Amino acid sequence: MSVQTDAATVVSAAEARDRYGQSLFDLETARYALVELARDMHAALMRGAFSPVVRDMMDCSAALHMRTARGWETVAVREGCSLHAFSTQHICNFTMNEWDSSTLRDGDVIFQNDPWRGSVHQADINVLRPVRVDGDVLFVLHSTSHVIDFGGPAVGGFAFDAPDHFHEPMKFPPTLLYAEDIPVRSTFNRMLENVRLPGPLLGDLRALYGCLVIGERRLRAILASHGRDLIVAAGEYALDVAEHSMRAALRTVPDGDYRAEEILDAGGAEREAVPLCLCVKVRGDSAEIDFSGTGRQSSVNINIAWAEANRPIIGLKMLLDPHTLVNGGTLRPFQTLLPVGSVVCALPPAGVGNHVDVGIRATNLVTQAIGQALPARSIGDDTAASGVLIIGGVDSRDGHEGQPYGAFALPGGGWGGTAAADGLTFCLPPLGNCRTSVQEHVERECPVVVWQLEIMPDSAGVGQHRGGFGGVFTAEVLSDAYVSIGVERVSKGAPGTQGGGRAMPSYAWRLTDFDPATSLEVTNLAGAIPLFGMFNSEGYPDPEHGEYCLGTEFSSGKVPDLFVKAGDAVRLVVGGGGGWGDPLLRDPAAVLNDVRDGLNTVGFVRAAYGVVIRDSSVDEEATAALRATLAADRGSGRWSPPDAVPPAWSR
Amino acid sequence: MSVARLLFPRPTQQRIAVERVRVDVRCPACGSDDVRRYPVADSIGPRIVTKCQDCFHQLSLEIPTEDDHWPPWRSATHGWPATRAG
Repeated sequence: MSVQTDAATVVSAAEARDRYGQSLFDLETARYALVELARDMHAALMRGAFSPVVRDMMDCSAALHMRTARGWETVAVREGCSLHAFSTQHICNFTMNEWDSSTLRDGDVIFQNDPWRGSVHQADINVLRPVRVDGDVLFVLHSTSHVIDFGGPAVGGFAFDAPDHFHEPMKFPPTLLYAEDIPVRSTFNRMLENVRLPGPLLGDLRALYGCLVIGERRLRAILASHGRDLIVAAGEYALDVAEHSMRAALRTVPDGDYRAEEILDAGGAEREAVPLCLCVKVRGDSAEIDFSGTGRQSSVNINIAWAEANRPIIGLKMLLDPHTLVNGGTLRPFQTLLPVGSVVCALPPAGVGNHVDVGIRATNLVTQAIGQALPARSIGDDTAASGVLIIGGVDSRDGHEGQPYGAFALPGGGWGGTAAADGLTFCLPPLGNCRTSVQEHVERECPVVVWQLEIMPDSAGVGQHRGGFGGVFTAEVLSDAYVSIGVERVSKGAPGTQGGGRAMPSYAWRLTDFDPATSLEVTNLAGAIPLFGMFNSEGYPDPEHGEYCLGTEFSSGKVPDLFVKAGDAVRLVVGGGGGWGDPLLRDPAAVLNDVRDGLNTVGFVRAAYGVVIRDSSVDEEATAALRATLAADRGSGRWSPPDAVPPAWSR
Repeated sequence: MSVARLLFPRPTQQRIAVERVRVDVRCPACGSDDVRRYPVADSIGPRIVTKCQDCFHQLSLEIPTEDDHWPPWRSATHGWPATRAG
């Protein structure tokens, strides 16, 4: 008997006995008992949470850490938001290194959400429950979730464009939340009396705590039935399995230094563009991710305090070792270099609430870098945006007067095309990979009508395997509201790879005097006031020849707190993913399918794919002639795959 | 002073790099003389690594000292005695 991952045999039965003092059968059984424990905690958290961002969107995770010779390592995790699986171990170490464990008693629970202590941003709150075994703190149960409001200037937790963390949601260092299972009143008062939505926050805090109680109950049952020695050995074994798999995958990458760089959209009063660059250095079965050369921290809150220490590993994991369960062993082969004072290692009091822009782009840069080493595994970039759109305010409808509310839309964009297939359409990037809101819940709980949540035509980067399509989200507010929006890739859409084209960048409009009978045609801009985007002098979207934020209300894809009066609407168009490979090699039948499905227009596929469609069929002769012409024009520098965007707009 | 590492000015240089300081030893694994010491985020947290730049053999991995300033920020109550509440 032996245990294998995708890349290699991990251990034989004889080796398991020698190394861990346990049978391989028992180790596997106990390893999955720990995984099931984390899954059980996560399921309890989802069931118990009040915020839609947890309950519906799954932006929450649960983990079990164990003390090893190295420190605190995550032996099992169930992530709703993928980045939590990579950051949870650091959060535990920062917390437990600071807390004097000799003061801990059974039932103590510690809260923290400090980005300079490993937390991703302040709106992702962490609750940790140390578990003593035979008098020693041997395990820590840990739950994490984004909450709809944790104070600060706007509901939602991102505080777009905040100049420093004083203008962001509250920040707690490690703080006692429960003492021997009794709520610490001063801590709860501090939190609940400083937010707009105390009810959902209290529900979420109790859910985060409750799932830890379930986790400890289950952990003690496992310890009682299997014994401490086997459970500790299984934890070590679980870490070794993940490490072994990741190292074996790294050995498939030729030794080398692989660099990638991109410029983030301008931000802040000085509109300073931020260069984000990294070098993945691979040597044998280990690697470094070095962000040297990255731009200084921004004057607005796109900065990262510590989370880029571990999140870029997501890009390597998804490309090289996608099937083995993530835990602390996954992180062991890597070290990250974070330039102090840069946008990936910002110094306090920098604003760090909007963590997603840098995080997603860093993941893209890692996949670009590995794509240089392994072209067959290259992938077009994704939208680099989840399409964060938050609507909040106080309900003024009859029967709901005075009720504060917060609605979260996360429509997502497109993933890049790959050597194997088209990119995924209309979903969140790999960094988070959460779900979108349940719009029926939004409409039931808030004065909001979601009129559109659908695919944006002609938004995918072209290629032999095109990118995924982005989305359109249009919501009307029935009470006066404040709207926050956060997207990246406004100046340029997601780039393709291996000859694939750029996707459509992102746009937003305010729709005045919204009328569903006339306002739902996306390419008709009557009554639409642009918030941001690339526009030509006539006010129409033009990613290639337009000007960044020409005539728009805002100077970037960050809308901090837009007042929208009752009866108006906002529309967010999230761009698509970049294409993979030569678009002139795309199967014309696949192009026709996309046209028939309403994903592409006839005019766009003619210009971008050289496919001529007449009477709902491919004109094969005309297509061959046009493709030959475009290929010749490309050879002489007169044609290249166009950036994705619908070709016809009107008012 | 315990509050000395809480607030920092924004750097003035446009791009920032991590300095890898050369160490005068040979790599015991491959014999290279390009061995350097620098701050990293290891899987557990902030560490100072001494490492061969050619083969990545790790000569040491240390918990940062006060002088390493890694990470630069720290708790306002660093070194204070702990109470039951933290």
